[in-house]
Amino acid sequence: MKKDKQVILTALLILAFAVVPFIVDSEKSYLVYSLFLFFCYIIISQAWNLVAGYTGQISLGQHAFFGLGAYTTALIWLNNITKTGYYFDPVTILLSGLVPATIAAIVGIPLLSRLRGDYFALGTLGMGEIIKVIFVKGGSITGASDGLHLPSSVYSSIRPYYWTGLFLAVFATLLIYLIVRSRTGLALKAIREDETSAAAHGIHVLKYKVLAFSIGAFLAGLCGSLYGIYLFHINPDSVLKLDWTLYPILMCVIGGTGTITGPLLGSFFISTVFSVADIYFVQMHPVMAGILIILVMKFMPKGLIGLTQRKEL
Amino acid sequence: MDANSVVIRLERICKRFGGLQVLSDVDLEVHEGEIVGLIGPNGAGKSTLFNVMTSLYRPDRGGIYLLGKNITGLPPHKICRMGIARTFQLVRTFLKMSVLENALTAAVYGQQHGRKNALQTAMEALELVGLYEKKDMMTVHITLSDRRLLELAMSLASMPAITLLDEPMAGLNPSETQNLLRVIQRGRNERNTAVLWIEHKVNAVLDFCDRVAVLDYGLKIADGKPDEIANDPKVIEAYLGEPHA
Ligand SMILES: Nc1ncnc2c1ncn2[C@@H]1O[C@H](COP(=O)(O)OP(=O)(O)OP(=O)(O)O)[C@@H](O)[C@H]1O
Ligand SMILES: [Mg+2]
Repeated sequence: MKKDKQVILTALLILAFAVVPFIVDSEKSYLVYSLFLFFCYIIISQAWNLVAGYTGQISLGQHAFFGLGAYTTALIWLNNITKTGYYFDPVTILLSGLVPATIAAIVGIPLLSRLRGDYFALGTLGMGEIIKVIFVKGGSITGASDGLHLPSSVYSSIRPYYWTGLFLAVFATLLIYLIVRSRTGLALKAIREDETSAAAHGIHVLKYKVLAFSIGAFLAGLCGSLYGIYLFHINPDSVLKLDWTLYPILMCVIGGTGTITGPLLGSFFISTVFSVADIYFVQMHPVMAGILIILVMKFMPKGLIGLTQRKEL
Repeated sequence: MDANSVVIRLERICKRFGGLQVLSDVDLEVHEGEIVGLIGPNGAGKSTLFNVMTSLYRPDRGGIYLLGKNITGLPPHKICRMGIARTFQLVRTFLKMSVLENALTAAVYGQQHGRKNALQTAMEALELVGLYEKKDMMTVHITLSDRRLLELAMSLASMPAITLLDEPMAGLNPSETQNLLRVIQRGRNERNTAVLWIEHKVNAVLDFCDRVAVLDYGLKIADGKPDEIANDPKVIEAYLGEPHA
């Protein structure tokens, strides 16, 4: 009974989001753009949530996978590789998820088998920097620091971005939900709780860590692809900046890591704060965000999701 | 007992940490359905022996054979699936998972084949240790002695050929202890599971086990029937010569 109700409510909520562009003037309204960002934030924060919140591996390299996704889209498009139309082309977007996922699996095996805890975090940070350098030094292939320009004349409306973002956000959330409730989820959580004990109970620790890392990269790559075709100008400063790692961490921590709704709440909260800050305190939102994080951490150590849970001593 | 029923055989296991020789040429055999006690003063190397058997540590020398197969150096998860389950001296359950999820994890990943009936296996194991009522609780919210029982349930859920118990009675009250002994006995009677059992309560071991092995400073100084062990001068010396808690 209760579960049916939840499903219906969720479906209605998604539907409500889906019709927003019909109600407000999507090309002029700031709301549609803000919600588009909100959806992007959901995708990358669910990605980080799987890797860190559920599997316990604090990755600081999510921006690299986000950037790889954006660059994959640009390179496929500009080099006319798949011949599939490119603009909102599902094949291109999918490949932009699969390329980072593959790279994550390849670099994840040495990183995750050798490095634990803080060292893994530093390792992923280093990986992000190396990938950035590769793109900066990539010469004419990657456009170096100026990056790549996509033909922006194809742009006609923000609506396809909005709906694709909504779709991917729902997809990412549903994917994580299904994974963590499956048997794979048991392995991930066990690894988070105690790696040695997990191994002693029959779990192939490295395999599941790499799997989570790779799925996280896949989602970040999808988001990077979508954001890349929104920007039309893909360069290291825009798609490979550390913000794409820090924002999801921020949103997960504020909302509540290791839960499904936490990152949703956190993304909503942060995108609202950023939007308000953009309007009223131009260029001040890092300061606002900083203050808010401190306040949330001080008064709600479990994140916003903690508000909905019973108080325990 | 004939050689075919040997579940696990350790051959001249050596392990040192830096300058400290923790295990020296330890030989040990446990047979099908046998309950063997492993006793010895603090720091004798008992837990280290378990860690070597489950491949958390690699022995410097020596071999480990499970059901005749050499398993030395295999990764821990494989060893678990091949049939060695264990508990830890300092309980290592998964705290932010429910009691059932803990047992289910062991049933899904710890068994060789049997993913199909994992839920049933997990439920039965919880029932056996008396934790069925608490199955939906978060493990962080149950008592330490319940967590010990949960770890025992997890080891049962992986359907092992042998269970290694590292001081399972520590911190349990008498009725919980009785329950634990019943569970161990049932595992043996119903599934012929062998048990290797580290315990500080020497009397419990002498009463309950089929055989007892004694470690002292990494050397196996005795191995035999409980009454032989109780009267062995070397064992008495190891215990009396060593102030222990
Ligand atoms: N990882 C390690 N590194 C270094 N020394 C270790 C390590 N593990 C154990 N030791 C040392 O090896 C010796 C044997 O330890 P072990 O835990 O096996 O003893 P034990 O017989 O289980 O003792 P207890 O009855 O107190 O549990 C101790 O001196 C211990 O300090
Ligand atoms: Mg010990």
